[in-house]
Parts: sequence; structure tokens; C-alpha cells
Amino acid sequence: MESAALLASTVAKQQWFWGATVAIVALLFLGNVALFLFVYVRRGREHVRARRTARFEREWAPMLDELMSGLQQPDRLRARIRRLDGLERPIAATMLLERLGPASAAERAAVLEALRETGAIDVLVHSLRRRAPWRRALAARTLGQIGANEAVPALTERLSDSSRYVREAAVRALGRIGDERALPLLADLFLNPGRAGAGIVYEALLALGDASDPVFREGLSSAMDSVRVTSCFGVAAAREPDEARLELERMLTDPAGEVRAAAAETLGRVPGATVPDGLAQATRDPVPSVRRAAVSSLGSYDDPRSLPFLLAALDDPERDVALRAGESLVRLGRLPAAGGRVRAAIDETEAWPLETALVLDSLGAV
Amino acid sequence: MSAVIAILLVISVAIFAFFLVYTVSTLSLTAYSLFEEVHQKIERGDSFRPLRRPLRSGMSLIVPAYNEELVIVPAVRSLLGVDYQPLEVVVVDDGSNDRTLAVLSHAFDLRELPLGDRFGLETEPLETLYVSAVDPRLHVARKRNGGRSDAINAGINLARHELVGVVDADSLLDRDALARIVEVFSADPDRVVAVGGTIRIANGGVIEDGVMTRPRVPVRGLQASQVAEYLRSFLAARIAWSAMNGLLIISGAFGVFRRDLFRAVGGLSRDTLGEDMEMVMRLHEQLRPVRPGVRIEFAADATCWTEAPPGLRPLRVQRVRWHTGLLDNVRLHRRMIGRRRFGAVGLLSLPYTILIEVFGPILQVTGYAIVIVLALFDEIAWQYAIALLVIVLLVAQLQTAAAILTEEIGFGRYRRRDLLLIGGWGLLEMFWYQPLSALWRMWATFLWLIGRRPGWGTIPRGAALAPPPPAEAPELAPAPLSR
Repeated sequence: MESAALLASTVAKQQWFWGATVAIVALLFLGNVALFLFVYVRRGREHVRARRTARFEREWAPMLDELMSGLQQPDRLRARIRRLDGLERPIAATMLLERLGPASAAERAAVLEALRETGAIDVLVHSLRRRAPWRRALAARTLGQIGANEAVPALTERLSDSSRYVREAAVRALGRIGDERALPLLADLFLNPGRAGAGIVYEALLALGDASDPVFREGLSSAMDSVRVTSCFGVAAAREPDEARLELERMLTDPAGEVRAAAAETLGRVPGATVPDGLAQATRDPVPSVRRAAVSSLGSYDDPRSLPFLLAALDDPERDVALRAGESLVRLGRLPAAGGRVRAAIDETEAWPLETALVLDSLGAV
Repeated sequence: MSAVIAILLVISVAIFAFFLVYTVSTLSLTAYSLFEEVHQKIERGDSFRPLRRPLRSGMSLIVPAYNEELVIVPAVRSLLGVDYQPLEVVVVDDGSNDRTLAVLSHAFDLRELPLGDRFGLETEPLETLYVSAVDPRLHVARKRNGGRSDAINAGINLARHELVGVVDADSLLDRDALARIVEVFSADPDRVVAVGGTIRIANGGVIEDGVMTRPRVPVRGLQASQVAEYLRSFLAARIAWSAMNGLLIISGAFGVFRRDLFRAVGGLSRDTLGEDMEMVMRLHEQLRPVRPGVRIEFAADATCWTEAPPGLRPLRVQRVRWHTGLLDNVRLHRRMIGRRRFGAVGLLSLPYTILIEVFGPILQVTGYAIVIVLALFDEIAWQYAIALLVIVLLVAQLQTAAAILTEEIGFGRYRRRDLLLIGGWGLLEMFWYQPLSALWRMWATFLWLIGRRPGWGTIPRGAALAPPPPAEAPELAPAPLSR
């Protein structure tokens, strides 16, 4: 014991020990002070920014009112927009975005015209090259929200931005603007996913309307399961129901279960008078998610041929499939052509999934 | 005597080496987390735009409840109020012997549903199943008591959406928590299989309409220290582990899983007290060899508020249980240690956990004991001891400060006064909270080694989330609907 203490005190007496100890303590102390200082300086800065923000919002709000209701003094606004500093620009853009959210198409068009007149579009396009990614993304969002189609070339450049968030903001903006010049690049992003969220690109393509139809059709034969899945939704949303059903029924034979499930689900969104044979057969698919989607979709077709498949699905080994079959029967019972036979079948059938669906229906949940 | 000295020396060197490794590894994790959060902030700013339907997956929230009459109604209201569709909430009353079911029935007008059959995961039998007439997205199941894992598995059997979230009955979610967590799934749908959110302490905060509107740090040391501890754990460690795909745990209070995989791996284990960690480790162990790109992620901006144990006794019960669970899981999944096929889990996070979390408390308590013995014999080298203490204190405080900075940059949820409280109590933790925690964990290790299992214990509820319900809650009178 004594030797241990001796050793410790001997070490403690060494010059190097205290030198090292003081250095470590000083370093750690300074690190702590620096971090806490940073927190509080940041707080202080945020406080100052909040006050400046409030002041600027008070100044900017009437200008936005003028912008929304029709420009009276374009020169004054132009001069103010030129004077916007680094703090004010994003606030101005955010306030504009908030105002434009509920605005009508006519109001948007008026605002776009006014912003063009004041040179704000150029400022926003310039902001697409700012260093901070969130600023580039905000500029893209604003350009998209106001529908500035002259910004399409600059926005398509941002599709290869180093930041994913900027790329996604550009995708959304291009979707909002709805300019077909963006189609080839958006199609490339959609068919070769990974650079932007598949859902975001999908929504942008949908916004382009009929023009996106060939992209979704091409996506149906992609080698990637996830692209084929999303393409099923795209085809259902973008094509005429009769044509979409043909394409989607073909996808019910896809080797990937999740693609078959997407096809079965989307077939329920484009119902016709007769149930596609493939959809009825999909209620016997080995993959539960396919059966689940198929029985749900059958409830959208006013066709009594669905009845035996749905009654059989009440005995499906998967609880959820059976429950959905019950709900589909209840929905089918409300439709004009199939309703009579289905309601009679419901009255004759004793099955807990059906009873559950009836309880839920009485609560308005089917 | 020389043998005793030699042993003491070896132990001291081991403790010192441990301290060095601990310092380097935890500060590296902290720095990495801070860097990731700053990077996120620069990338995204404050903007968050959730996906619109129809590509968004549906979500079933499972709420296991055992004797939760004080908190269950505000918790369910909070869950039904989150901004996410399609959503269902499945409360599983795990054989409560209080009025959990009665208060739910009173608040949500429950109607009986047929129980049915075809439950995939094996659980204790369900007794009754209800749906709310007020909000049919709410289902309530009553079952024979089988423990938390059993209740969650029963909830999974009833869940109908592709994603299943597990949320504790004493927890509240931020309105956008689910949208934020699902965004992580959506960004990489082929690889992400589970995502956990940040757990924060609700005690002291102001809750309005089931939403935490003004988070506060409690003045009392025990709860304030837990706030600091949670901040360090989530914001100074999990962000980094998630970036490395080495996350070992998704907290049971709030995590979201793919339902098909949850069921495919057999649901939650009923044989361990750390079932949340066990599920994550099992997903790694079973999925990574066959799907190398699989990811388990952490969404720091998806927040769940939970009640912290208000006193020492419930805190001890909780920590002993957590540590026993950790030991169980390390033993169960030791096959992954050092194996490259399990990526960062096998090579980094599991070895780190064993060294820091398993052996750490033992070395920590041994260190305290040596100091006490040396002090009793007046043999302590005070200069050396004080120098070491100051360094330990500053290292711990550096980690707390970095966690506060991460919180400030990424989220800014607390007032200036709250940050001072976290920092202040963080500084004092070293003298009481940390030793206590180490002692409890050492006790848990001892119990585990001799094969004794701690129980779940009872943690007092309602301190943070809800006032007591009215004295007279009506008895449950479910209304079965006739056809």
C-alpha cells in the first residue's frame, strides 16, 4: 500500500506529470468554456436576430400586401428588394411562401408578374448559387411556389447539386412550375433513384400531368423493384382508367411480391365495371400483402363476380386479409350492381371479420 | 503485502486505461454527433416538408398499458392528434388491475368487436377487443397479463398498417414526430427497417392538448440530471451510431418498425428485460448477413416526451432492469462481436458497449472503493487524485456541453435558464448521480451473475403528464353492436 502511494506521489512529483496535467486540464477547461460560450453567444445572436426579424416583418408585410393586391409603387419595392441583406432575404422569401400557400392561381400569376417587374426573380435565381444549402433550397422552393418558369434552367442545374435537400427542393419546384423542359431530368431521377427521394420525384412527375405518362410506363419495366412499385401508382394516377387497368393487370404477374401488391392496390384506384381476372386471382397470391391489397381493391369494383373471392378471403390465414375482405364486402354491398347479392350473402354469412366490418361500418369507419 | 500492492497497481492501471479509452471514444462519438447535427442544420435549415399521400405508409401505433389509469387518456389523445395519416392506435391493456380500461371506455366510448383468431405471434390470450365510437382509429384490447413484450406482440397481431410504432403509455409525441420518422423510411425504403426517435423528459414541462408546448428542466437534481443524461445519450451518441449504422437500441418508449420484418423475426422476446434492445440486435443479426445494406436509423428530430422516475427508488428499479437487459442482450448476441459481416455493430458498437457499459460500472465502483480505502489509511496521493478528479470532471462536463450545443443548434427547445440547470446539475452529477448509477449497475451485474432476475417494479405515474382522473370513473359498459 505504501509503495503504491509512494509510486503515485513519486509520479506526481515529476515535472512532466504536472506539465501534462496542466495542459490537459487547460485544454478541457477551454473546451468547456468555448462550448458554453458558443451556446450563449448563439442565444444572444438569435435574440438580436429575432428582434431584427420582427422589425423586418413589420416593414415587409405591407409590401407583401401590395404585391398580392397589385403593385402600386414598383420602384420602391424594387429598391427595397435590392437592399435586402443576408438576414432579410430568407425572411422575405418565407413570408412570401406563407402568403402564397392559400393563394389562388390568379393571385399567384399577379405576384409572379409583380416580382418579375421588381427584379426579385433574378435575385432568387442568383440565390440558387448561395453557399449555404438551406438558402439554395429556400430559393428553389420560392421559385417553385411562385411558378417562375424562367427559372427552369437554373433549377434543373440544381438537380445535380451536391446537397440532397437542394436537389429535392429543385425537384419539388420543377413539379410546381410544371414545365415540360424538366421532364427528361426528372425522368432520369425517377428511373435511376437514389439522388432524391422517390416519393418527391413521383409527386413532381405527377404535377407535369400527361407528359409524365411515358416515364411511368417505362418505369413499369425497370429492373428495380422500388421503381416498378412507384410506377404502378404513377400509371394509376396519370393514365386513363381503362388503359391503366390493362397495364396494372399485367404487373400482377411481376416476380416481386411488393410490385404485385402495388399493382393490386392501384387497381382499386381505377375501378371499372368488371373486375380484372388477375385481380380476383391475386386474392390467392402466396404473398399476404398482395392478397391484402387485392381484397381491398375488389371492394371498389361494382361487380358481383368479386363475391366468391371475397367470401373465400374471409377464411384467409392472415387476419388482416380476412378483415379487409369483410370491409370490402360491406363496401360492395353499397354499390348498385353488386349490392343486392352481396347484402344477401352478408346476411347469410357468419364470420367474425364480417361482423367486425359491420361494427366499423356503423361507426363510419369503412 | 507486495501482492496486494501489485493487485492494486494492476487495477489502478486498468482503471486509468479504461478512463483513457472512455474519454477518447465518448468524446469522439460526441464530436461526430455534433458534426452530423451541424451538417444537417446547414443542409436543411428549419424546413421540413412531409410527403403527401399516397406513397406514405400507414402507421399502427402500439401502446402497451399496465396500470396506467393516470396517464393513458392524455397519452392516447396525444397520439390520435399527431399529424399523420393513415394512422391507427392500438392500446393493449395487459391485465391491469386498476381502471385503465374504464377510463379509456369513459373517454372514448368503446364498443366491443369480435376477437377473431389468426394471431401470428404467440401471446397470452386476448380477452376482449374494442373500437372507439368517438374515433374509430382507436382500438383497445384487453388481455391476460404477460408483460410488456407480450402486450406489444399482441398489439402487432392486431395492427393493420405496414409500419408499427411502439409508444409507452406515459409518453407524448410531438405532432410531427411520426411524419419525421417516416421520412427516414421514405428516403431509403429498400434498406431502412426500423427507426427510433429522441426521448426527452416531460417532467416540469407545460403540456396543452396532449402536446408539449413549453419544455422545462425540473429544478430538482434527480430529474434535471436525467434530462442531461438523456441529452447525452440521444444527441451526443445515437446520432453518431446511427450515421455509422451501428445503433444497438431503439428506445422502447418510441420506435417504428416494418411490421412484416417485426413479425418475421418472431416479435419481441419475452425472455429478456431489455426487449427493445434485443429486437434491434436481432434485426441486425438476422438481416445483415442476408441483406448487407439494411439500416436501423435514429431520427433526432422526431421527439417523444416521457415521464422520468421522480424518486431514487423507482429510478434504481428502472436502471437495474435496464442493465440486466443489456447484459442479457450482450450474451444473447455475442456472436456478432468482432465479425465484419455485422458491420459497425460487430466491430464498433458492440465492443464499445461491452467495454464502456458492461465493464465500465465495475471499474468505476472499484475506483471509488480504492480511493475510499486509500483515504481511510491516509495513503492517498492527494495531488494525483485531485488532478485526476478535475480531468474526469472536465471530460464529463465537455460531453454535457457538447450535448447542450447539439440541442441548441439542432432544436433549441429549452430556455437559457434550463440550459444552465442542465449544465449545473451535469457538473455536480460526478459526485452523486454517476456513482449511484454505477452502483446500481454493478448491483444489476451481481444479480445477473448469480441468476436472479429483477422485476419490472412500479414507477409512479402522472407526475408530468396528467392530473388525476375524476374520483368516480364509470365502470366499463361496452356496447356490442347487433347486426
